Amino acid sequence: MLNGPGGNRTSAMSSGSGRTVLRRGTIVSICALAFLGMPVMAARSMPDRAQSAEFVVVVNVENPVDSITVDQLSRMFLKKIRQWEGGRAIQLVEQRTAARVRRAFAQHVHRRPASALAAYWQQQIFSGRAVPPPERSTDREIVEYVRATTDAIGYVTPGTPLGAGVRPLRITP
Amino acid sequence: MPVMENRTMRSFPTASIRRLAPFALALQCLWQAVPARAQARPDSPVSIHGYLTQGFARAWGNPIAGAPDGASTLDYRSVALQVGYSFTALDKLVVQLSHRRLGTSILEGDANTINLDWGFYERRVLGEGSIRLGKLPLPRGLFNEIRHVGTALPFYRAPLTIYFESAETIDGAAVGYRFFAHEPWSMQAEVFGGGYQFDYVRHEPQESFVESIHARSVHGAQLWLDAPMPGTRVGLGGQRYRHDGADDPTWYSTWQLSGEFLWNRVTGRAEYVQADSRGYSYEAVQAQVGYRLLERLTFNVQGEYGDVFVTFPGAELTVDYARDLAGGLVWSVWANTALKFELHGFEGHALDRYTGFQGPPGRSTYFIASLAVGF
Repeated sequence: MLNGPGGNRTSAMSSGSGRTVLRRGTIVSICALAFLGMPVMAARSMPDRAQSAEFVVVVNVENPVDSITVDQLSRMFLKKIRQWEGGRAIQLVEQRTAARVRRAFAQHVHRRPASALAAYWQQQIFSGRAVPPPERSTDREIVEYVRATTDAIGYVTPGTPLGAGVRPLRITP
Repeated sequence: MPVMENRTMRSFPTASIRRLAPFALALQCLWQAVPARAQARPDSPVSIHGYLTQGFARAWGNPIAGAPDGASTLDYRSVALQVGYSFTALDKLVVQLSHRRLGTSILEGDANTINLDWGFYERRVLGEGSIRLGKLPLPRGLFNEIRHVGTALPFYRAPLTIYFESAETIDGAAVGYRFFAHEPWSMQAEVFGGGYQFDYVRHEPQESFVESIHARSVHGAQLWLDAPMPGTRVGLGGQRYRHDGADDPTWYSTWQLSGEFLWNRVTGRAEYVQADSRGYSYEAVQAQVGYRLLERLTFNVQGEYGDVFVTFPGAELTVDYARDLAGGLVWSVWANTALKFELHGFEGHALDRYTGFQGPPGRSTYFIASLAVGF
């Protein structure tokens, strides 16, 4: 063990720096408190993310879930939540990368720019934890996927015809 | 003769294939990384991903982290190709191969080596849980699992004082679960066990060589608390292990505190690590702040320090191992491609040459430009 019998880490310095473990520990503690406090302060100042005229979240009509929060929606699409509250696996479907509705979704729901989301997925992929959801090229293909998959969730441009078998999902703050 | 690094090596049938393989990996990454805007990602049980980080490095004052003093090198890269196969909705096999070069550092060994980064089986359990078996990324801190993925890092590499250039994987098992997944605050917990090899370069007056520490009976955990605010989390991790010496019963330990947040244009990260090993202990801190100047341009600043506490019979020594202050720009050319330019000012003993722990610390200024792509 480092200190040895009766030893003290601060009692022997080689290069005259004069630093103490206590001061480093204080710095670390302040940083930790700052990190814990930052999300609380930020959450209070966050504008309402639930309401957007730029996308509509859709699910299959047989999905019993009536509403989810915008935080839950974000975590679903980041694969941090993998099951509906009833225990069934969530089947995600994403818009293609260049779609304008996808950028709007990222801005309002994830609150991150495209580069930050790309870095997040790189982290997930190369830690072997997850891969991005499958994508569809058009709103119609998104609707078709959700219609055919009971546990699916996706989002489309407002005004997209949903037809039978697909309904909007209410998103709460 | 230096000991080779810690990765499993695979031999190829002919020398010519071995020489071409790293370039094939790099070409594959570049080809896939060109944005195919009209194409959507298809459903498939097979997933193929890769990354390439190609760097240019130069140092002034002293050689450091593979960057030569008074000269430059392009022999500075990380390339990897990952293949995953989901044979059921719950079961997946993942294999990742890589090729890495670290300039003039002897740590990377043979220039044409392709290594098995990891190969493991994963089973999803209880909805939000997973079990992994095989050679896995070692869950530790913010960057250990992605330390070479240029598109996921603010600088060329993860902070050296925290992550060094080894101890990336563990041969064993890991079990993870996300608690309170549907609540605003959720917790990701992972426990792991097994063994690994940790390589480092040892500089003596007459020569430098790679030494290995074989850690056995490794057991540890990594916990993450995710805040409601996207991109914000705090983590605590630690592990205990023994050295691979039948007559050494000592338990060694490492623990680490990590945190990151994303707030409008500002990204912040900080980590603290404390480790005990044979005859010495170690303490390090790193902190990064990034500010998004434009949608695709970010400025980052990073400071880190590490101290080594060495125990001799009847005496102790504290060594300024590393102090590094860096600034850099990241230009996200596309969503999966980035150009980085960074300048570091370093003082300490963690140079690519012998300094002697009881001598004065050395200084070095080094510059790295890099292209990072990933798909």
